[in-house]
Amino acid sequence: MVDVNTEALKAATQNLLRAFRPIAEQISTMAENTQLSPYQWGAIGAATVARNYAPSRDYQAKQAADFVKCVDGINAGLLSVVRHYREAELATAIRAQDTLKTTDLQNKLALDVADLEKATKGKALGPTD
Amino acid sequence: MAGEEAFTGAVAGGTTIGAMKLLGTYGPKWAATLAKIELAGTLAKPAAGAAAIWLLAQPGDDQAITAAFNDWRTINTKLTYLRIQEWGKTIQAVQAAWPEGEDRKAFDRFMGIVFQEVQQLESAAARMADAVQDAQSEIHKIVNNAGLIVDSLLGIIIASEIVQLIGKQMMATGVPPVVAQGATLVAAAKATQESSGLLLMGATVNAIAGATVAVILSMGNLTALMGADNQFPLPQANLDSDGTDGKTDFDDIVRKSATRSPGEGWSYT
Repeated sequence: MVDVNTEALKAATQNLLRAFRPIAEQISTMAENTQLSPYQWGAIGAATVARNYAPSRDYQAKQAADFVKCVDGINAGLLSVVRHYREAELATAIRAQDTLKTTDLQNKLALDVADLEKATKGKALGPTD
Repeated sequence: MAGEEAFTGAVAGGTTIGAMKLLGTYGPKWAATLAKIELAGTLAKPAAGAAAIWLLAQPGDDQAITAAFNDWRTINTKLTYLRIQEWGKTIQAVQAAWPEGEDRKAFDRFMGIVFQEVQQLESAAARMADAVQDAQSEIHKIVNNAGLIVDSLLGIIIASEIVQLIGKQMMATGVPPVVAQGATLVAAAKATQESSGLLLMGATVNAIAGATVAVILSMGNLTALMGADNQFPLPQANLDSDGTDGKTDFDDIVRKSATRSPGEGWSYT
């Protein structure tokens, strides 16, 4: 069996979400706020500027929003990996008839399942392909 | 002369951008000055034309444009920080806890793609910021150039009016040499009005056309930032799949490789 440090992987996953999510969220909000109407450019700037700025802005704002979804997807994907290895660990403990470890792992697995559910619930997740 | 405080104010600031700011501040008074001198002859039309351009080029909300520039710049900075300061150590922590297997390799590949997207968004944000700033400064140039033309035309109109007034007073004295000198002054002042008007009108057209082209150029290449190769992958939410539906993701490979690569240690079920 591959020696996956499930606890460390979960901590690293939570750390990834803490490190990436706020930045993704901030840039997404900021990109959303960069809308400029033709009026704001003035009459001479309006036609030339608005035609090129608006579609580019929309595109980048969508990119920023997709980055948030992508981070959520990475988080959920990693939590799913954590759950998987925890299940494997639990199976091993049960086979070894290690009751103490089995109980501990069952509790941790319950947490993993809850965390994964929280990470996926109501979220449009980016892919993990 | 009514409205002259606007003109005096403009000249006091120098025929520079500073003067334009004064003209901007004294907008209505300046307009009133133009209205008062509508009988000043050929100069009035180019002055009104330049004033119209000045007005049309005024950004409706310059602060909003500056704010948008700042936002793009900040997005760029934040992504640079994420990429340089946070990315490496965060991914390394995941990798340290997760020995390399088929699933880990899939994760590494995936994060490689996301990393590229982050870099692309980072540089796109920088180019958006640059384009907004360039366009804004070109629009400012149009406003300033048109304003300077109006400023100069007003100066010529007022000066020639004054000279004509003096010339007419000299002619009214009835003293022959003085009358002749007065007539010369009036003629010269009128000629100045007409020739300067044409020259300055030409300068206005050039300045405006040049600046407008620059605005188009500074925004024109933004469309290149939109492309299919520049996209975070679309959401699929396929975490529930087991990888057998053709939508493989890095958490699926764990399950698939349990049978596919037992040599790697995925032998438990």
